[in-house]
Amino acid sequence: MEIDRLDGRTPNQLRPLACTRNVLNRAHGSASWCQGDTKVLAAVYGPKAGTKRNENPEKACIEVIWKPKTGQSGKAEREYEMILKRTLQSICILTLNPNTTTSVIIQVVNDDGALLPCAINAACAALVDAGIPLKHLAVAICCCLAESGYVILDPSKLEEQKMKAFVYLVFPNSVLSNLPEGQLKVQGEPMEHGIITSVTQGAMPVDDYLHCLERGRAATAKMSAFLRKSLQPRLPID
Amino acid sequence: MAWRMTVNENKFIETALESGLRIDGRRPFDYRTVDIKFGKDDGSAEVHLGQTHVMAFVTAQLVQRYRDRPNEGSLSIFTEFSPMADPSFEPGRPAEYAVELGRVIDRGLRESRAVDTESLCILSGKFVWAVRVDLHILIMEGKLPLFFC
Repeated sequence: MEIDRLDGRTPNQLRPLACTRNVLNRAHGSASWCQGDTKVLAAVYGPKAGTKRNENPEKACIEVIWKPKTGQSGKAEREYEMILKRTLQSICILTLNPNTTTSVIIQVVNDDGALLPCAINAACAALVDAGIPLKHLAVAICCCLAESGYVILDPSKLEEQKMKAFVYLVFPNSVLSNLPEGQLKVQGEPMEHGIITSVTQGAMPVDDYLHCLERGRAATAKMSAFLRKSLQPRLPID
Repeated sequence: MAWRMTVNENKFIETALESGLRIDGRRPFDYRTVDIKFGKDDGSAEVHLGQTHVMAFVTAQLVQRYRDRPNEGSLSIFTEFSPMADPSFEPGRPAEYAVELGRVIDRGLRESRAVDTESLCILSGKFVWAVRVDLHILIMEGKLPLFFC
């Protein structure tokens, strides 16, 4: 049974991705990430001395500031900041620079669905641009469940509003390594099979959730390849 | 601000100006290149003046008016000094520079009657448009108040 999407995509097809690095000259690292019409700009200011009062001074601290496109920052922005902070904390190597704060500032330029995954991808690219040491990259995707039980990936805003439930999933990116295979497995499974973050909204049965996970994971392999290609260092032409 | 100008830098700028040259090679009355881009949706624009980048979004909402001016809508300007522009900007309460900037733009648009607030009224005393302009400063390299109009 095929489901018709408004823009003619297949259920597993992602919108066109675009990533630009080093867009801001003042920030230590910056990136802009577009998924179709959703565009997010991320800026990173590298380790500053000192941590905030409630943070652990024995580790580096990540501070996230989310700026919405219009309106004051409200509760929804605080929630996004918290999710982003937890996700980025799990990919950064926090023990390298203890008692420092790295600020990540997210500016929403346009919201056309899948905003949080777009922001996570942009933040990850900006962290790489700033040279912050990371364990691995994070690739985020949004999967939703239609009324008919069909799973579609990367919805636009109109599609998101019509869905029964959706889930934002963040996976570690695929690993290219010189080390022998056995070393990179965690408890017998390759690292790409892990999940960093999962945020669900709406009610969905467990089987459908696992189905979303599978589809999401397959799609992030393509996004990983795209991310890796766009983060290649640009060498000057001789 | 952590960065302070040294005496040498001060003297250099002054001597250069005396011979009619500015530090980026421009003459005293030369302008930096202006680049204006309009976004996909209605009511968004991005302006680049040299290295300074600013984004503006305009939204409108229907509100009820009880005030002593039932025939006019309202125009409000919100200037956001994002920490993206400079790490010394703290999120939260705007610094006095930000507030001053907001006021200058507000007075400029209001007093020059660039937006006719009476035309924003739909039903007198009941429903009017409240137009809201959000300005996000992405990179700051000087000359902010000029931009916004």
